[in-house]
Amino acid sequence: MRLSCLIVDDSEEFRTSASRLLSAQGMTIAGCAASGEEALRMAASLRPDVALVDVELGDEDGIELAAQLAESAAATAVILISIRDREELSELIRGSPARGFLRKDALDASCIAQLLGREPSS
Amino acid sequence: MTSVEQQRTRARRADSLRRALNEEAALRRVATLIAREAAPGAVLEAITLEASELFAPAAIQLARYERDGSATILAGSAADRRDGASSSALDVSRVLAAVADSGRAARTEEVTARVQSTGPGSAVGVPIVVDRATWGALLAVSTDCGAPAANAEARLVEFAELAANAVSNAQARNALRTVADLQRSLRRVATLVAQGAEPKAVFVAVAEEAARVLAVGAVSLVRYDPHTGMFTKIYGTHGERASVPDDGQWSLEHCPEGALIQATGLPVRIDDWTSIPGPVAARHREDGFGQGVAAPIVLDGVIWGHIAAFGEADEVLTPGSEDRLADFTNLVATAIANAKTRDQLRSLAESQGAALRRVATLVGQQASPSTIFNAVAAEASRALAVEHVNVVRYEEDGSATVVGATESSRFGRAATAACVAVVKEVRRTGSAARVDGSTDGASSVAAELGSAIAAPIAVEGATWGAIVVLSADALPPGTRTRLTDFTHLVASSISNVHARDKLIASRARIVTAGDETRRRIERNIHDGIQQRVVALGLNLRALREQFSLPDAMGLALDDVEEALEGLLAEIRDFSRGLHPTLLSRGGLGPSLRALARRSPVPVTLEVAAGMRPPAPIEIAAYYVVSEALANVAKHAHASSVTVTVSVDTTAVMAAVADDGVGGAALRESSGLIGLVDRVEALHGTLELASPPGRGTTISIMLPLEPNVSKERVLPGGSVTGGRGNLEVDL
Repeated sequence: MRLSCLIVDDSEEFRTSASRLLSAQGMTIAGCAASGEEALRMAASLRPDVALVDVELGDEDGIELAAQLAESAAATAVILISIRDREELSELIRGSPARGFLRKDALDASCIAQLLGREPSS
Repeated sequence: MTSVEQQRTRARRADSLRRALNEEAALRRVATLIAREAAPGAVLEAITLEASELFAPAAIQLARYERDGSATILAGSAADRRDGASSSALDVSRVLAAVADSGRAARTEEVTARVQSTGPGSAVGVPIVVDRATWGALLAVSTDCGAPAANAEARLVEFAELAANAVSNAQARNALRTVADLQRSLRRVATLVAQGAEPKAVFVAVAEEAARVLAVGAVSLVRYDPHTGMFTKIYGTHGERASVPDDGQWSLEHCPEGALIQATGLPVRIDDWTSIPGPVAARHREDGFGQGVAAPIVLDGVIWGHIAAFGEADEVLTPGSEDRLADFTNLVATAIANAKTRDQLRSLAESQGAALRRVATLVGQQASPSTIFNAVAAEASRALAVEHVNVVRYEEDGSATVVGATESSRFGRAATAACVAVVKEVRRTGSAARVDGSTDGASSVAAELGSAIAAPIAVEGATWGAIVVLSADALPPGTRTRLTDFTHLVASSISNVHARDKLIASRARIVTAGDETRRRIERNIHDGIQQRVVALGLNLRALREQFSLPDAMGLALDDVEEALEGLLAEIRDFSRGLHPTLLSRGGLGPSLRALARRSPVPVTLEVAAGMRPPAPIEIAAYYVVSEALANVAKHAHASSVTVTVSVDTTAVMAAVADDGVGGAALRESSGLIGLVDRVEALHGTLELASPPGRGTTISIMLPLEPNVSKERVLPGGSVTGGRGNLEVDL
């Protein structure tokens, strides 16, 4: 079964290219959200397998959103993504209920599956 | 007519003519003497001599009447010295008395007709009239039998008129000389006063000059204390003879002239001391003093004391002596008033000088503005002897901030009302203002700290703020002027603080603007280039997923992907150096831990940050630690480094200590110098301890702005708390 994902990022350019890559890699793009509010709503209705959440979601705090998604009724699994190094953000990420962290340029369906403890679909 | 008769007649005529010519010559000689302003004594002597020759053998005498009704022979031979003239003295005195009584000519025959007396001699007298009073008399006294010639009176009158002329001229000259003397004396004292002589010197000069002008030996300068009713002798010209020594005291009832002055407020004269009771008057009599005059010294409408002059027992003080004395008292009053003003000015200048030095020292020591303004308030309180003082700064938004205050200042509602009113008024007018609780209409204002006086602090031509004096009671007169003076003087110090504040503020603005620019660039890169390069990479990979490409092309695209990764890494490094994003998101703790992890020298990090300080301070602390750790890595050859950071409500402290080689310095070239700028721009301090061989420690202290805990006066609300900054809506 294909993994469905919700892409949460304030950059439209990233949402487009990430959707293209991940769907090319066999994932289902359940939806894209540009804000935390949108993300929570879509996660509740679309029930994706995973939400990819940008740590710096514009002026919003992606880490805070990750916690909200994880604690929501849908208990959405979250993978934090950022343009920055993990090391740079480790202090912020520490303690987060997110399943993992991926640098945006290293985005990859198999990595996502791995972080979620699933076998890659293809 | 026979020739003999004719001869006799001719001889008589010639005699008469000669006598007339002689008489005329004599009168002319006397008149010349008078015109030459010869001494009156000499003129009177000459008159007597000339008349004696013309009236011979009769003797001529010139007498002056005294106050007591007696007469003194001033010139001419005494008749009783002549032989057989034993009774002439009697005649003379009778004639003198008759002339004095009637003011007209008299002769013995008339007098003796009433007074049963006969004698061989006879006398004729005519009055010498000066200023319409009978000053004296000119007499022709015959020692032999026979009455004086019938026209003797008429001829004597001419000489008497000349005598009167001489006397009146001399008196006029005397009066003139007296006036000139008085003017000279007054000028001497006035010069002393103008030169700012001490009051005591002026008192002495006044007493001595008054004694000279009045021609008396005893002049006293006396101070009166209305509270005790006691007089104090300040200075007397008569030394040992004084009934009271200098600095001696006596009471109102023992000072008749002082009591009179206190009662009337006018110059007084006491001619007769014989019936005046009390020990001072008794001493006065015993010491041989007579008439006295005195004049009040009036200062600010109050009788401060008086000057008294005393003649000898047998002396008569000329009329108007008390008025001449009064001329001096004005000078004394001026001298005292001047000295008082000078003393006030001096003590104000001295206290203000010291106050200014203390404030200037604080400014020099770069004390915080609140310390300086509290000191200004305290110094104003001390200099003006008032308890409550606020230093207020006008803000651009029309409000005012209390930036300094005396310990005792409490911003109760009432005080704020008076304070606000006066502060408003100063801002409106740009000059000192006064608000009295009683005029406010609000009784609560009058009840507590009712009066307020404020003077503007002008800095760079604008009203920067004001010093406000608050008091429950009416503030003493002159407070406004003294406050204005104090404020003028202290304005330069405040101006320095203002200039320093402006400099610090501009440095802080530069630093902040730089930080802001870097943050914006970092943000732009993050949101722009970086995202696009990432998207480019993702798109490329998506394309490779979607299309199967020849191997050679795949290999070539691997290179492109690799180049893109390299580009991204480079951009990441670049933007990380621009601005610590993590700091603004996570605060000092996370960002410093990230720094510590990246450090090649092992870092022991201790961060005690309960609250997040304002961004500029946080950034400064972060950069100091960051730069210090970079220096440790580059130069220290250290095996370990300890970073300690603490944040409390007053300051952020940070220290970076390594165990390396030491010997570091704040050189222009070192990255540390830029940190000093950053730290000082925030009123902070940076210290470097780096003894060779014993490691390097960099420590900073960044104070949190005092106005963080600002208190604001809510409209109609009360304010609690003490000396923190306080804003007032105007």
